[in-house]
Amino acid sequence: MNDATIKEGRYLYCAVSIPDRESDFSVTGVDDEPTALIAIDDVGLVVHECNSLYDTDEVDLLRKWLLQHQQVVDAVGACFGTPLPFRFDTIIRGNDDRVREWAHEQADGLSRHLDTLSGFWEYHVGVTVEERELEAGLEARDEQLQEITTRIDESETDGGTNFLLEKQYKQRLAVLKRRRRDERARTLCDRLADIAHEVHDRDTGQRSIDLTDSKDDEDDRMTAQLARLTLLAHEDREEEIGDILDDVAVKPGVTVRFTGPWPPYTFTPAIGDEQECKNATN
Amino acid sequence: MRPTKRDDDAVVDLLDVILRDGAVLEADVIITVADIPLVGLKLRAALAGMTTMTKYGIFEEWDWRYRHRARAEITEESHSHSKNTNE
Amino acid sequence: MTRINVDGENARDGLMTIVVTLVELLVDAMEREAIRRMESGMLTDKEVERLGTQLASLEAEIDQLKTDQGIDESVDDLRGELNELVDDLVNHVDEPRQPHPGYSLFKDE
Repeated sequence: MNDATIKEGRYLYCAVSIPDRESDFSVTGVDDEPTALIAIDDVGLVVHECNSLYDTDEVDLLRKWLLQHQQVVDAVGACFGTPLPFRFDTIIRGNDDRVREWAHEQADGLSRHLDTLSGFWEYHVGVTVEERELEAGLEARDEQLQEITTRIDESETDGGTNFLLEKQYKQRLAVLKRRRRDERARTLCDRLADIAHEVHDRDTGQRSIDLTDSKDDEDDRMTAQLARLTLLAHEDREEEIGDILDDVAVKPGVTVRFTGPWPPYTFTPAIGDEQECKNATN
Repeated sequence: MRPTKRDDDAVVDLLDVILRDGAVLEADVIITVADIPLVGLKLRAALAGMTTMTKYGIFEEWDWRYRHRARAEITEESHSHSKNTNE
Repeated sequence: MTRINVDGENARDGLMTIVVTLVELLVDAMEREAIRRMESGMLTDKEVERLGTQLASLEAEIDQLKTDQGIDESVDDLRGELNELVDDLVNHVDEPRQPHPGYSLFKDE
């Protein structure tokens, strides 16, 4: 079992490019700890002192810690530009000097990564569409649906045949709706891929823990999720992305959520192990 | 449209990203919760509480070593179970 | 590894949920098969009518059971989760694996 207590450690939030060693930064962090910026040449590491991992079984506490973590990294980004964010609960054993030592060892990699990320941010896009919009006009365009409707009209209401025909109708409708959803999602991804550096579909890629209540909309059976995307884009192209999303949002029954710019959690590579980096990019 | 950051939904959206993404440090100066199968026992319990899945939900295995496959195993075992479990 | 937890506050409800969900899935499969046969024309009108009636009353019984046992929601939820799983397998198994996020920036490092 992991030894979660240490004599002294530094909770690591992120690395960032700083204009000079005199850069200052202090924002309240996880568990209300005060943060500090450790400068090593042109790289700054934002940390707070701690002596154990943050571990809890209380939902509210975990949520609070995550929010605090996020606020720190966010503030760093606002001050200094795109940071290299570390995963929640990453702690370096030792004191400030140890951190400096480690940073010196990693200086090359950190600098390079920060240069590469400079100006890029993560954005999240969520699109939902009302079920009836997906259904609209489908029957008019589909022979099979029309045929089934005719047979339904001819059958005895509440009879066994009628029951099966209704099922058949729903089945065909579901297939067509899915196709339409997929087409619209693909079109959106293609348009965004012209502007953003990367577009990742959260639904086909990794499975994430859904910490939001986003599923509630679907549960209403009134709206369907069209796409949940994570984008890596340069800040200069943010407006163009917004314009594309405006086009999408203007369609009937469509709701678009566009959040960001976020520190690029999803897009950062592993640090300190070049082999791991190479493997990760395969 | 311009992207937003301030409303609750927006940030909550990001929380699970923070938990499983971000740079991973590969070095022995580091300790992370990744040492125990992959997430600290208590965090796992809390994570289970945070999901919107019901008590009959299905949870996936979370493998932190390979970020590109980041999936989480969460159990909803009660507190007494989680103390005894070591998997 | 996937684990479905049937513990929770009421183990009996958990088990009932799983059983009923399985039954519903079976009924779904039977309905799909019935539709297939109906479409293919291999059934007489009488057979279609009888099949439909049986399936309809089966569904009605299950609905009543769910309501009586108070497991409507939990069955719904479990089915939703299973759908997602199956969805993943069925719809995405042929897709090219998504490149690792960050590939566009870090591949040359």
